Amino acid sequence: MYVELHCHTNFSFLDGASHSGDMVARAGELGMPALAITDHDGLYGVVRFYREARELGVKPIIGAEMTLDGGYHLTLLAQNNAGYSSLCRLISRAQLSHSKGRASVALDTLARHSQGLFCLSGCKRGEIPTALLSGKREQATVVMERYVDIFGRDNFFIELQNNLCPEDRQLCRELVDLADNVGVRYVATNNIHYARREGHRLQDVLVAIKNRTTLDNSHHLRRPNSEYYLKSAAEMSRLFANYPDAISNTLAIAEACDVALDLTGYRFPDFQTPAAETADSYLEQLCWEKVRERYETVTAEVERRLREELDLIHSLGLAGYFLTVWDIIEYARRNGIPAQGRGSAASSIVTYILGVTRVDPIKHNLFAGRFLNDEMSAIPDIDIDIASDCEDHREKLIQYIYRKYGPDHAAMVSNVVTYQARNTIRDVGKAMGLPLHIVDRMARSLETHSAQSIGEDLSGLGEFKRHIGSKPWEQFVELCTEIADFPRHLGIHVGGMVISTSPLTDIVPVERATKPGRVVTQWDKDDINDLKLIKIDLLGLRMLSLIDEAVRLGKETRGVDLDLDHIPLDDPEVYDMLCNGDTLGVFQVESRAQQATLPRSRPRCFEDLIAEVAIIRPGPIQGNAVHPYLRRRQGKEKVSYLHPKLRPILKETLGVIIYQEQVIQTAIAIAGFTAGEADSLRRAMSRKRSKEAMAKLKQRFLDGARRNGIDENVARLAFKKIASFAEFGFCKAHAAALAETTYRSAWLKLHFPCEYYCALLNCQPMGFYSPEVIVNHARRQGIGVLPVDINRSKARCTVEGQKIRLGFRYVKAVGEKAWQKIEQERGEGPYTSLRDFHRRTGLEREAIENLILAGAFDYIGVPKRELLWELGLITSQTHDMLSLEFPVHQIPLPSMTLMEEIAAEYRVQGLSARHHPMEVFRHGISRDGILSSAEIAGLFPDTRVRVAGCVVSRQAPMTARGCVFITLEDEHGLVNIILRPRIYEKYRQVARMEPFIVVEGTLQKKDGILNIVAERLTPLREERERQDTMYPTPAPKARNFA
Amino acid sequence: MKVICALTEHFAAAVEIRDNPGLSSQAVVIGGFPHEHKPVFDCSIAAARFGIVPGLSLREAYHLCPDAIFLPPGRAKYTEAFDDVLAVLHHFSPTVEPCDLGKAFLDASGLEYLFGSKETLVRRVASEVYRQTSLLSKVGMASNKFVADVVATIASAEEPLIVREGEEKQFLAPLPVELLPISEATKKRLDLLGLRALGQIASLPPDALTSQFGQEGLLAYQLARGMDESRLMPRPRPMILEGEFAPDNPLVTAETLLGAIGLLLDRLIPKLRARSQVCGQLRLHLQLDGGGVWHDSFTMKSPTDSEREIMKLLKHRLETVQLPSGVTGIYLELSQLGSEQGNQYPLPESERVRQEAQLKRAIKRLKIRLGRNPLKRVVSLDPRSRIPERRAGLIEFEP
Repeated sequence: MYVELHCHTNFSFLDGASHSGDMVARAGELGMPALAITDHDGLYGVVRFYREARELGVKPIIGAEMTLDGGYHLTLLAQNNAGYSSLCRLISRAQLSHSKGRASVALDTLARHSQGLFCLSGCKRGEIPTALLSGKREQATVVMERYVDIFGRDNFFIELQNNLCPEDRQLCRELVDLADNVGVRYVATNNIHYARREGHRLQDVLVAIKNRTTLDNSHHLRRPNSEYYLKSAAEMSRLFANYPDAISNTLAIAEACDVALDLTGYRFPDFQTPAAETADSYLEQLCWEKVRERYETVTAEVERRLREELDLIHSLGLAGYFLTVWDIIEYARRNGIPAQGRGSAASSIVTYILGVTRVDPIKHNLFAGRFLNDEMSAIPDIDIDIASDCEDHREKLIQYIYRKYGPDHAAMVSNVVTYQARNTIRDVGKAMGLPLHIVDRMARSLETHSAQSIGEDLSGLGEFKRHIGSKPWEQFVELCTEIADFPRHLGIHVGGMVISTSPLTDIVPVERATKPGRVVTQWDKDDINDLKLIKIDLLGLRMLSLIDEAVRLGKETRGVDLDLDHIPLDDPEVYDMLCNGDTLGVFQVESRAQQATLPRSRPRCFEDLIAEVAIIRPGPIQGNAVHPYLRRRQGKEKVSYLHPKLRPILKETLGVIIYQEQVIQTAIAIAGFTAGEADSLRRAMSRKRSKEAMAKLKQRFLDGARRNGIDENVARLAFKKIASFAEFGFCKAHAAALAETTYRSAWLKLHFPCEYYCALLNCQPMGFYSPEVIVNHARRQGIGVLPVDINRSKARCTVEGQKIRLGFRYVKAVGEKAWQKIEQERGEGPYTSLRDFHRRTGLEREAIENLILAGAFDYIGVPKRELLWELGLITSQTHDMLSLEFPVHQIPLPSMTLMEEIAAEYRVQGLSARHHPMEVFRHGISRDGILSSAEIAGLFPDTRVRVAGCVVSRQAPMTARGCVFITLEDEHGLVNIILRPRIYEKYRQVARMEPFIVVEGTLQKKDGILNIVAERLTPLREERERQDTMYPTPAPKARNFA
Repeated sequence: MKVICALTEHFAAAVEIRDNPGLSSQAVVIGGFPHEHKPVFDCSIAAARFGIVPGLSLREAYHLCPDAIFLPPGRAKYTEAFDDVLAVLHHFSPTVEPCDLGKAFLDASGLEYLFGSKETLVRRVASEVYRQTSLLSKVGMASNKFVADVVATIASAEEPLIVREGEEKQFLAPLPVELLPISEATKKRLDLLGLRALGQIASLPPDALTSQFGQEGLLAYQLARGMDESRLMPRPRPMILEGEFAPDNPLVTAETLLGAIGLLLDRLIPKLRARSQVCGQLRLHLQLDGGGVWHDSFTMKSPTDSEREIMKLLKHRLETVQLPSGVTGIYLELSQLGSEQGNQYPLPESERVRQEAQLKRAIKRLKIRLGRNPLKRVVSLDPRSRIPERRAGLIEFEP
């Protein structure tokens, strides 16, 4: 019997070449009773390894291969929970005391945190083997005795590895000799990097990726053979036939190790309340004090609901948690940081009263059971949206939490970035030394997100068929498939933060993030949730910044002091705008699908808007709720219910399930579930749903329905609707919180359009559309867009007499220092010429060149090329030359054509302030019946049309059954294109890779919505060439002077 | 001046395809095998269509075109083939400048008197290159190297092109700026300024271009106007001395053979000495009775002009050879000719001894050339004489 005690999973980033699940499964096959995980300087994969090992009946041993100061390796294994904490602390110290990716631990730190740990002397990079390999036997003895002093003679083992390298047998002999002399036991390990021998190929590729080189150039970095796989007891016994104790000692260590990863010591920190107050009493006091700020009249219903929630919070011991969230929101409010709660928390009257959320749960009939109930199995989530713009409001809040709880007690949750289709193709392609332009094109052509289906995906494209079918590329595809879902590196979760009473480093190792001042846990959000640690999500939401900025601009330009908390939620003009689908830039309802739905659902009040926000989600779509809802909204279908018991639940949504609360309430009404059971049902149907669990739940649901006397067919249908809805939909509270922001953004767009579009441009990137589309749209709405101007622009876009002036931030190579310098010098007086600008700002030539091309010097009235020529003369003068003005030669430079100007503007700022490229292209394609978006609006349905434009968005929703939706933009507006699966398959490369296309298809008009069902796609450049060939420019006609 | 440019694109690949016509329908990559960590040396036009270019790694080339034929580079073969092309060009003009592999310029001034019109000349150059080397060449003729180069690039193998003197500017005007041998950064700036054709560059004032782009601007201006004053740098012809001897009857013994070779050397060595040169290598071709050739080359231990040393070497070699039949013809070539100053002498010799030996050889050569020793030594005769001419006298210098 043998237990492997040195095993790297793929959480030894870009080194381990097997998933922990594969390691555990292989260990199970080999009959290993236990298996250790020893990734480099981390416990990144421990939670899933622990779960997988327990599921397969293999005892999990938690450990890590630590790097010591000096670069030596040492294998540490946790003997018990105290040892686990020691390991967490050691890893945290090693990580935090050095820059990211260079963890190492000092010997004195090791000595301080050695309790409960087994120590193995390490691989060939261990201090003892290194000394022996250099012939320094005495030094090796000294080092060994030092480790014995630190860990004790019983807990320190010499590690023997025989990977069939030339020096291995000799080294083992010397290590055993040394161990016998000092009186230390030894143990065999195999330094596992992959579960099976075949994994060595992938390990080589990972090493090449890690070292940013190719396989050809990484021979010296790669492992010398393929012996680093999980070996059976028989194989290991053969390798260590001379040292039988080395094998038996592995079992002894495995038996002695026993760590329970239940984190019972974790507790959310108590809130520091005023003296003589408990968290519960303080929360209650706060709520009763603030209730009048929210409700002019505290009705019995408000009072009852508040009391119920406070009782629940008290019984669940969550008062401290609510107060912590309130404290964060209060800090944000005091510091002018736009922040608000989202998610199911919006259904709570406590959060509403505390100012955490903005939606009145009583007024909007929000069901609180989804957020709080007395059978809760998990802590309720309160997610906070924070304006995230250049002032970095979110960072201020994060730093406030670090300050308040201390860096040992608070950390951001990490995000494990894994190999998906695109990064796989790029990384593996580079490592294999493949032609990068093909690799890049392949990555951009991919439809799939999973690296596992790269081969299938690419072989469907004619362009790559030849490659994929050939031998060298076959190997590439195989490796891409093998690397699928491997962790690549650790990032920061978008906003998750863990806070703990006891030091976090006792529970989970923490490390530095790339961003200065940030500390992250080594576990991602799923691991945190699995171990029931409480996470507060501080999510950046640019829309809040946008609204904030639009309000500020409104005050600056029009002198209007807006208070959005008090705008009416029933402005008919706002709903008219929404009903017309004029929602580009409006929060949550700007997508193509929303724009197509709005004219049919025709929201006329805030409740309708909540439903609108919630309906375009995978849940309602898969639950077949969308079309019945729309038909019923239009009065084309009678409202019906599966069962009369569902009428009160589904009445507001016309008989269909749109919200998560309705899932819970349906389960309660039909199957008699309790609120807690129903919530468990909803959770069970979420991301981790399993067939067995679903089958059990279904039976429970049907049994309950039978007991309630409900027909089995009705019950089955109800369960089907619930199951297909699952968690892929919003809860009403969340939808209401979002709808409130949607309404605000729509209101601003309607009443302060110039300010709104200006703020929209300043808050990019966000939403569905790129800045060029926003600029074009604003222009079509009658809002002038002015180019960057060195005497008028600021860093951000500004409002200038109800026109938008583009800001310097849009111009490439003009960075923060450049903006500041331009503005600072402008304070001394306007720039009078290009030479004056260059002399005063001293900007680099590229920056000035880009400013010229963006039109920033147009005010001078000199053509751009002449300015570029002058710039060349100015910058050719060296610093030690007198800045004398040379006579400027009158150079006959060709003027820029309109197309050249547009192309230059796109190149330097990604958009053109004045023109749409189709204005130019239109002339070259106007001879063969290609229509503009304005022209097709007046045609009859089912007309065959050809339109041309720029592809501004491509969407392939999972729920669309293979259909792909493209939005084309021309100089007059947007056109929706529907590509059926067969057509998309045929024209995929054109649809994905071409920026301008011509679409031929049939016009579809329904409820005022206009789509073109495509039948043929052609790149616009080909169409232009075709028309140029077919219709050559005619020679000028002779004039008849007679 | 008139310059002809002969250009064989993808020369190495063209040589491989010529030697193995079965490759003509295949993509050929030269440089080694796909697994080798080497760059592509050259590729055929078919391979270039897949994006393969010289300098790309062989592995990348393999991934771009897995069906290509990969060949190790035969540099000696390509050099030999190019030498053959140059030899053909030498038949037309003594001034031939080899450029990159596959490209050469020749001075065509006055050649029309020998070969007829310019059209006839360029056609003959193209056809002779093909006839003698089986390699297709694109040929262009112009008044200077730059224009001839551009002309050859544009010409086809079937249709040589000529740009007559005075028409260069007009010919170049519509062509793209990319043809200019200037930096990429300058080309990019020219593009930004809308200066994309050579004609546009040619129309600008030269001082304006110079102040904008420095020396590159001036160069661009001159070339765009078809002005290229760079001279042809002719390749020195290989320096050899050769002699042939055809005996009336086959020579069957070593003594007679060596005697005949001695006669040849008697003719060649004085020529060698007259050039003040020494020879480093010998090539001996023996035409055998009944067909067949025996040949060998000999490298001298140190370059020499001594007939005795050369004969000693040949004697040693020929005495050990069993020739199958009598010798009907002898061809002897002295090569690796160089200045005797380049000789290396044994280390123990002092500088003075070495200089004396050199001096003696120089005097010997002068005597052969002039029939007397022109070097004199100044000796003191009557230093106190009042008549200056009597104070010193000249005697023959003997070191």
